[in-house]
Amino acid sequence: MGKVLMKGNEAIAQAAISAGCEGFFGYPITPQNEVPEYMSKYLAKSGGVFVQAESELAAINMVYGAAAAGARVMTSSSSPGIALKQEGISYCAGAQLPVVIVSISRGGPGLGGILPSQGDYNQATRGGGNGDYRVIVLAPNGVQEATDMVRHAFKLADSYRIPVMVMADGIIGQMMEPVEIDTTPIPKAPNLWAATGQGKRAHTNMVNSMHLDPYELEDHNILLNNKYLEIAKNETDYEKYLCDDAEVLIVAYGTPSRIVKSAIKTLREEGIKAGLFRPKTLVPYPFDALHEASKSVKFVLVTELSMGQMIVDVKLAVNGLVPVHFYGRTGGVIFEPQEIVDAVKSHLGGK
Amino acid sequence: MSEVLIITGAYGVGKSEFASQLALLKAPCALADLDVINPYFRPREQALWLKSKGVDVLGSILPNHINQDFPAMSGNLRGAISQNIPLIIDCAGSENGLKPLASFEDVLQNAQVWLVVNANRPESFFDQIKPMIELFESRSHLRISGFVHNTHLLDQTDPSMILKAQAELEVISKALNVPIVYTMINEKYKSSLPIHNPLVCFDHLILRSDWMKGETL
Repeated sequence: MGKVLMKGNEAIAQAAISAGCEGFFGYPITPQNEVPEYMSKYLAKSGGVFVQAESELAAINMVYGAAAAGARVMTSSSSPGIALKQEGISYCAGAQLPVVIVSISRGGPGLGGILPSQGDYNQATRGGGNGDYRVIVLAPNGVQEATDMVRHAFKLADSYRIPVMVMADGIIGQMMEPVEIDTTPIPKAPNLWAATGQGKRAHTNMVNSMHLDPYELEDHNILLNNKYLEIAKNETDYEKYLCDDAEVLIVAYGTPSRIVKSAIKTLREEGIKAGLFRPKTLVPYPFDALHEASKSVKFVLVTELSMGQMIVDVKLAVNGLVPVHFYGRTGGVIFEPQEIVDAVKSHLGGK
Repeated sequence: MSEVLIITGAYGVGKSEFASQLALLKAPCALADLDVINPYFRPREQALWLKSKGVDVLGSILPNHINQDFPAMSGNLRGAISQNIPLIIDCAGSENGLKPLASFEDVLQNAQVWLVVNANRPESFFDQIKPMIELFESRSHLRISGFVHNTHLLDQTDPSMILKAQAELEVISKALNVPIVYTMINEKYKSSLPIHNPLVCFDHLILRSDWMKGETL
C-alpha cells in the first residue's frame, strides 16, 4: 500500500490485522475508540472475529478464553478500562497465555479526563492484578513505531507465552502520521498446550492458573520468573540520542521523548550538551544501559506526563551515581520544549 | 445572511486544519467547531490564538470544552449565522459528523458544503469519493458543492504527490460536476505548483505542535 496517513489508533488496529490477529474483544473508552471501531470494520474482512463485550472484564476474559483455545488475540482500552482488566491480565499471565493488550492512556485517577497522560506507568509495569507476575510493556513514541511494536508484541507473546502490553499516551493514539505497515505474515508458534480438543493426544490440555499444591505453585512461580529473566536478557530495548558527549541526560518515553528532542536541539544551540535516553521497553526496563549512560553526566532529568512514576526505575538504574531530578505535567497538559530547557538550566544553576 | 461554509469529509483528511487556515483568510469570521465525536486536535484547542487573529471559535456551551466529547454545541451558533461575518462550520469526520447540522437545517439552505479529500488517507482514497458523496448527501439532506484538495503526508509531503492527486481529482470533479474550490498547500510550494483553482497556503499548521515533526539535529 505504500506510505499512508493514519491515526495512531487506526494504525495500531491495522498492524494487529496484518500480524494475523484472529480475535479482538473490547469495550469503548476515549481516547482509544478508533481501535475497536477500526477492528469492527476490518477484522471480519480478514477472517477474524470482533466482539464488543458488555464490559472490560468480559473483554479480557474473552481474550483469555480465545487465547486458551489457541487463537491470536488482542484487546485494547484506556486507563480506567485497563484498571478493570487487571484481574484478567493476572489470570492470563498465570496461565501463560499469549495475548496483546493495547493501552492508550488518559488522565486519572478515577475517571480523570480524556486527554493524554502517562499516569499509568505503575499500572502497566507493576500491574494491579494479584500474584508474582509481569507482563512485557512496550512504549512507542509515534505512529510508525506503534505499528511496529504491535506486530512485535504478537511475536513476543507467542514466543514467551506471556501477555504483552503496548502502552501509548492518548496523543499517539490520536495523532496522524505517515505510516507504512509491514504486511509480512507472522507465523504462529505451535500451541501444543492449547485447549483445542484432545484429538489424537493421550492427554487433555488444560489452561489454568490455579495450583493448590504449594510446591507445584512455587515451581510455577519459579518457571514464570525464569521466563522473565530470559526476557530481560533478550528483549530489553532503548534508544540513545546524543548521549555520547552529554553532560545532562534526560530520560523520557513515549510522546515526551519527542518534546525532549526539540528541547535538546535548543539546549545544544545554547551550548548545553544534553542527551536523551528513551526506554522502548518499560518491562523489561533497560536498567544496565541507563546506568552506563548516567556515568558521565552531571545529573539526570526524568520527564513524564505524570507526577513521577518512571523516576523510581530511573533511580534504581542510576543507583546514586548522580542526582536524579524530575519535571512533569499532568491532567492532559503537555509540556512545551521550552519548559524542559528551563528545567535543565535551573538544575545547572543559572548557567 | 452571512456566508456559511460547511467543511466535511472522511475522518482525518484535514478538515479542522483547513477550516482553521481558511478562517485566517476570511477573518474577521466565526469558526464553529462542531466536532462532538472526537476530542483531540480540534479548533477549540487554539481558540485563544485564533481569537487574536480575528477568528471567533464557537465550541461547546459548557466550560472546559477542550476536555469533552459531549454533544453540547455552542448556543451562539444560530446567532452567528445571522451576523454579517462569514461562518465556517467544521464538522466531525465521516457522514456522522453532519448529524448535528440537522438542528440548523432551517437556516442552512444557502450554505456551501465542501468535501475535503486527501489521497493519502485510506478513508478518503479517490475511488471512494463518489460513494462517499452519495452517503454524505443521503444522510444530511445537504448537497456537496465543492471539493477541497488536501493531499499531503505531513512533513513527508512531496509536491509531485500533490500534483498527481490534483490531476486525478480534476477528472473526478469534471465527471461529478463538483468544482475544486481550494487546494491547501504549504506556502513554500506556492509559486512552483501549476494549480489553477484558488489556494489556501499555510506557513505553519495551527492544530499540530512543532515538536510533532520529530525534528532532530
